[in-house]
Amino acid sequence: MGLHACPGKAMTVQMANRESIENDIARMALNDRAAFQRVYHATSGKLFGICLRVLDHRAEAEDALQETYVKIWKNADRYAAGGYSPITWLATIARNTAIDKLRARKITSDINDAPHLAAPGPTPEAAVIAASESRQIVNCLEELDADKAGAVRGAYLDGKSYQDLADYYTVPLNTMRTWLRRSLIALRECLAR
Amino acid sequence: MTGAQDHIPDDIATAGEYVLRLLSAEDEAAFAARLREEPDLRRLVSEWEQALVPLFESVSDVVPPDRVLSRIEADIFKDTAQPAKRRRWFGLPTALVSMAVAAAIAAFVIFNPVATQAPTHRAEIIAEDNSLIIRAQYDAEAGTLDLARIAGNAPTGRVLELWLIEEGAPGPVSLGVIDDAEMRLTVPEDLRTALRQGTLAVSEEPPGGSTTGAPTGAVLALGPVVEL
Repeated sequence: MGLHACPGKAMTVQMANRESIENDIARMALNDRAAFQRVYHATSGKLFGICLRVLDHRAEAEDALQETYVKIWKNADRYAAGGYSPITWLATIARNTAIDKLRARKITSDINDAPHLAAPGPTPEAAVIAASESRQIVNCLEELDADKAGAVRGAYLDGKSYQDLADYYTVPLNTMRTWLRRSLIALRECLAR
Repeated sequence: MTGAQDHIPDDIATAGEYVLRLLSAEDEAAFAARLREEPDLRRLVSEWEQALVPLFESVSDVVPPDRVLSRIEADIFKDTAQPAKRRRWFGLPTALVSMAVAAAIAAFVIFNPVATQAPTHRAEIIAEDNSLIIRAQYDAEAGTLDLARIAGNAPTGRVLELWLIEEGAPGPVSLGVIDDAEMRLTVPEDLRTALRQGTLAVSEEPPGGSTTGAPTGAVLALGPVVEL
């Protein structure tokens, strides 16, 4: 998985961000509190955005974010041994924690929260993602039908279930399953090129 | 990403569904159980995770309120009086951690489904320049030593070997080759007393480890064993 090509100076800053986050996660495994605070300040905006996108509820998203960083602290030693990009690890924990909360939410809970305010423009955190990950997925999604690409995005970014997606696209549940499974196979073929 | 032919299409799709959290609770649990046993499947899941993360670029950052950090720190930084806090180590997931989160965390390391350890001693085996960091936790009752390589690696073509240095002993005693990022070894009974007060050292050796009974390569890192 190659690094995203960015010109000159910008790349150096982004590389430094990735390496310093990796070093700080390793230091967190040794109980370095300052390292934890640096990681938090570098990544909490993105991870909070991820939680809000899934939960669309401020208080729940705050709880999910809190749980996420507690897990990050407690499992910092597991990250380093795996050798994965830091933002993948952090964002995956955040997303899964938020989805756990979403699934646990009672159907009758009343959600009356002000919509979250979106940060304008690209941010350092977005730059960290752009530099460190291949963005093939965006191109490969474009090769799918718009509905199928939308379903993949809905599941990943919004935590939509098969039932949610079937309802949204007004198709039977099994049809949505077939669509999605086929789309995943097609995506992987595209990503492997 | 590895070739599309490396995995059966069924697994490719199910791994993708697993990462997307589309599986039913039962299917998710069954798949997580498979992940513990199948390294290739773990790799497939990791590839999906990494492939999808760039989609988060489209998610706007939102600065969380200060109270969130305060609550996190109150949780993780308590017990300032203790010299080393007791942390979950190869433990089974708590009720609060879903199978998917636990597997997502565990999928990044080689998972050894072993019983929970209750460590009584620990050592941080660290090179002077921090280029190699291995964390060790020892359970005196069970006689098991859990190792996790936090940073660094064996030099190319060499392996890392673990040694116990005991004060007054004629030389270091080998505890074995460290051949995994995370591993558990059972300490021979006749070394267990010495271990509790000894120093652990890591040297680099030829593949298979030293054949002389003493380190033949450079000693890269040291760490005294301390009681928790």
